[in-house]
Amino acid sequence: MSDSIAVRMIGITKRFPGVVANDNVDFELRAGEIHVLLGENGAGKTTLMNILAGLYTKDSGEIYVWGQKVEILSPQDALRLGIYMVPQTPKLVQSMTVLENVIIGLRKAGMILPTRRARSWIENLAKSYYIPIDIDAPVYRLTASEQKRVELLKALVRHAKILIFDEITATLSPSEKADIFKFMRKFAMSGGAIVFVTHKINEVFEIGDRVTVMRKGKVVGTFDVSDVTQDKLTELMFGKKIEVGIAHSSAKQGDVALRIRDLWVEFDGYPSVRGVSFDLYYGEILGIAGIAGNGQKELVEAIIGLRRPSMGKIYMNADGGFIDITDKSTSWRLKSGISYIPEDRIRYGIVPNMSVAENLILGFRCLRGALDGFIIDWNTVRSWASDVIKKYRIVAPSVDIPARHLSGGNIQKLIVARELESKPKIIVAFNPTLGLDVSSTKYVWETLMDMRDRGAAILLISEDLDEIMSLSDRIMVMSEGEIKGIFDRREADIDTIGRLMVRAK
Amino acid sequence: MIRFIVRRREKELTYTYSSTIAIIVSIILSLAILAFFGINPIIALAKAFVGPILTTYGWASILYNGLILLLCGVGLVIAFRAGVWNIGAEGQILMGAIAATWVALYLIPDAPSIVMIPTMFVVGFLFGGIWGLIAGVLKAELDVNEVLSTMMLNYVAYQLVYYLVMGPWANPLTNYPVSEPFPESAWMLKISGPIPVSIPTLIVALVAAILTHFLIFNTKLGYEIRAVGSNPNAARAYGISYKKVVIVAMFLSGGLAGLAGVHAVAGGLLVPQLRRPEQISRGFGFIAILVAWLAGIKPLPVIFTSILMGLIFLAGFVIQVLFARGIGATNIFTGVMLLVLSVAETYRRYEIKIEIHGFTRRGS
Repeated sequence: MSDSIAVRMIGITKRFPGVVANDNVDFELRAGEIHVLLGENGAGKTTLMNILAGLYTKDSGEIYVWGQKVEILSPQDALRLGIYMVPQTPKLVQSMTVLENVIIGLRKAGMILPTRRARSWIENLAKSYYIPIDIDAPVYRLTASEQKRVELLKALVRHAKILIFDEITATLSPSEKADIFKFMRKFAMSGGAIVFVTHKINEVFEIGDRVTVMRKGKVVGTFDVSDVTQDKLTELMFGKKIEVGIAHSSAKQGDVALRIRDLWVEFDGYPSVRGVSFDLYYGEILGIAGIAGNGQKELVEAIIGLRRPSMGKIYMNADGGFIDITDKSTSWRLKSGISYIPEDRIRYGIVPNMSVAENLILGFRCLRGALDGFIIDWNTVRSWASDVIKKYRIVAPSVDIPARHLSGGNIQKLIVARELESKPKIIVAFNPTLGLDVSSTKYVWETLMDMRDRGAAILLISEDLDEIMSLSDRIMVMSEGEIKGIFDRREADIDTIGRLMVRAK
Repeated sequence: MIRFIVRRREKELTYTYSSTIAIIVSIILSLAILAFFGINPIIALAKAFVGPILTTYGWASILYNGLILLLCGVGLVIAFRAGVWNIGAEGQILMGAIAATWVALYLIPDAPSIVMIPTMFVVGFLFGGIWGLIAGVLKAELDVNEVLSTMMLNYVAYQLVYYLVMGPWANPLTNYPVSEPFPESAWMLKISGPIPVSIPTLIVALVAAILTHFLIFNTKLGYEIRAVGSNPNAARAYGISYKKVVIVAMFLSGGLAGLAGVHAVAGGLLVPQLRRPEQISRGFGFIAILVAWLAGIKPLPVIFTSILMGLIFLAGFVIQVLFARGIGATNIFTGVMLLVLSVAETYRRYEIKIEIHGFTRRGS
């Protein structure tokens, strides 16, 4: 019996300064199952899995792996026990190829890299576990989701038997998600065990065999997925029922805010955006639906001024006239009222080592009074920042701690707070609720709606079709760098949009 | 079986803690190395480290070296904060020395001290700053690696000094490669106070440290420097000009090293004149990297670490003179410290445990 239990964690407690992240937690993982670990941001899921993967050490409690009592003090220890955590953001050597990344640090790889045997072995592994990837491609050329596949290969090559996926679906498109799920089933079927950490209830039913729900550092229940309902899980997760979704009121469309004409943007010499033209109006949310990697990133970067278009024009309508902003600097655009919520929040949204207060003034647009001159009036900034974190319900012990200490959801709230406090005319929001829990998502949605009602023009680029459908007044579908269609909210139909998203030419 | 387990600390140690340990460990290790050459470490410690603190001349030398390191170190803090690896303080010192010589001998040789000394500092700052600016512009505009460009500019400055003291600025009265002595108005060291130290440099250096602290932590420019140094992607996404930051940081960094160069030629016990480059700066531009690093890349602690390194530098010198002429004791001290400091920086951020047969010891 004991060998069918892959992992048993008993009475795990982990304290951080000011919080008990795991409070006497019990968790059991069986061989051959996909076990969903469900909870809101900050419920303690990631902490528990970091303990299992050797990234944190527990304060107290016991861990058994395949029936043996173990002490896991480092990721190397975990790996020796066959435990591998697929990181949220892939940790790869960008300049090396997929193959080189996969065999990095492997003892048996030998001195001369890579051997032909290793190569065919890895190719076969990839094939049998449904991981479509070119193993000779340099990693920097891969998309975020392809980089995740490299991490999967790394796990397989290291003979991992227990895999931990932490919020892995956050940046994946539906089809990429399906690929990963296929991999997970195959892995579980061949005797492995999987912990799938998520805050999305629907994924429990898509992939899980069993589910453990955590709330505020404690386990509130473990169930067979066939025995629970969505309502029951929602209740356990939040302690009370929460209506997911948002009431959509009709927009009062104003003038054109942003006019884009025949825009071409290249990435690495390849035209990613191909002749895009559209108008964004004040007082509307224009949603751009599309699968990741179809030119959305390059379009956003061109609008913000981070990437120079190879052709075409971008005009901004401000103070009663159109201004050609195609060649204006990012700083000019931000100061003129274009606000930016980036997709990759840690890399582009914040300076992790700087404090919460410092991050709230990034770009120097908020709080004009205290930031007018050469000198920063820190007293004013800090007291303003304290108000802002209260107003936006950002959970941080103080405004002076480095932003990297905040949870993912709170980092996103920080970015949203900063961007909205700058009183923008135009908001470019790129996957603004990626990886956020339900209450934070709802908060961001309501805030965006509120900004729209106050006359801001909002360009919402999202891979989450629910988000697009819930918020947008008009919906535009982008695929292969082109606009495949623009729909009014009333006539938008999710099937048509879904088909346009995936239809290849 | 012995295993090392290295894990990221949940809470990093402070620089004060790691630097103190690093200094103590590196002094012990250096003395241990010297013991191999038959030098009694206790006596070496007493004569080289305690001795100078007890004498006026010792303090004069510690402060002379220390002030060069303070100005350079503070400058390097600015560059390092911006994420720019300025290895060229040595060359920037030499440019400051050239500037001081030009001002004192050719630009305003007859001016009184009250004009002469400030002018030397201003022009010294400009010369050093321009030397830094060249590498800054190359990096910002053409993406030239600053480690290579600043390093190479060191050699250019070095040869330039040689050319000047052997050629156009050579003192016709001697065969030594030196310039003529500066007019007396340019002598900054007055042997009158309790400790002979260049008061103008002392003031300039302390003000520079305080102003740099203010610049880094209390101004928008300082904020931008830190943002670019810490996360250039986010800085760029929110409109901070990477080019501006790199260029300005390199200019200021070089300028401060230029001030050190003025002091190096005009603020010491020797007669102020341009000398051979290795007599102007004996590797201070590189030791200043240690100084900035020991200070946790913060301007105010540099005041302390620079004086301390001034002492260590002198200690190496004393050992060389007293015990072993053949051994580069100064190089032993600085080399060991560089190694120990690299380890300390890792140790500050990572926890290291040693496991022997399942028996775990926490190295703390």
